[in-house]
Amino acid sequence: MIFIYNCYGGSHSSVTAAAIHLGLLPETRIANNRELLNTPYYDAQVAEDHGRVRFMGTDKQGNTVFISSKRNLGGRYEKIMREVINIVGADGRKLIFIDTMPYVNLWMVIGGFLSRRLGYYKIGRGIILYGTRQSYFKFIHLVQLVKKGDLAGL
Amino acid sequence: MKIILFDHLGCHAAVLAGSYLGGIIDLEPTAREILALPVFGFYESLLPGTSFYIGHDKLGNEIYTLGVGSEAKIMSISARDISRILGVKEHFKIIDVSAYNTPLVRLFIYIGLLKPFNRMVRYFCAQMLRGCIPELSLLLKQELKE
Repeated sequence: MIFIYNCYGGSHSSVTAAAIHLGLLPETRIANNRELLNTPYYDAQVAEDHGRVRFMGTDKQGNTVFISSKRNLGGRYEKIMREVINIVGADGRKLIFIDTMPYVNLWMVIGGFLSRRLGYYKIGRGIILYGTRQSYFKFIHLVQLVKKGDLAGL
Repeated sequence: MKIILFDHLGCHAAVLAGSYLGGIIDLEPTAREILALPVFGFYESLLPGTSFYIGHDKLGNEIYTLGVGSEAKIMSISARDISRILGVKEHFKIIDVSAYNTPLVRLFIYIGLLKPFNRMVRYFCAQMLRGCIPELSLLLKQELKE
């Protein structure tokens, strides 16, 4: 399978969930700030990167995990991508799109805006780390659902 | 090759561009001709993600339109990346024509959601978009040459 975790900017929630999936971040406790900041692509994407589907790694089952950004498209991102896949005649059955936006809290929105959009890294990063830690167990729960294959509620 | 034309809902500028490419309309179509295009202004909500098959050009390339909202640029990038991940062998070309849906056209698209105004809105959109076909044709030539 190919898992594509996607969020607004592909910088925080999708990266966190993908890293938990891959075991780069702990699955039994809240990751600390250093662990989060050491995650590849965490708080690193810029506007020009939006839309890029980036490889994060391969999990223990051999599934590949990617991250992507979709700005304000929400659930329509998957619909659009599946339409493109149908048009070009590819087999999209092995693709699983996971929207991490429902788990993004206000702190992450504010921190992401300050850090990524306005470039106030020092203030923004602190807020985004706090926000990520607040929602961390939700990301763990999401990843567990994905791994279990229970995607109906996503 | 498959040609995918992106605009907001896949049924305005993209349909005109696709129809021109397919030889269905010429450089100076009348509003009536545009209104006769089967999928022109065919939408029931503002949600993107609908695709339409328009036809094929002289070279046998299949032409499609796809609604991508206001995110044509990032959707082009994602579509190319995902195709690469899936190992798509078929060559395809994405052309973004959403810039030709001017703010006024987009305003009319909103108004067109109200059923009583739908036919009138289609007519206004056709009138506004018919003038941009020469410019669209240049863009298509340039994009397909690359």
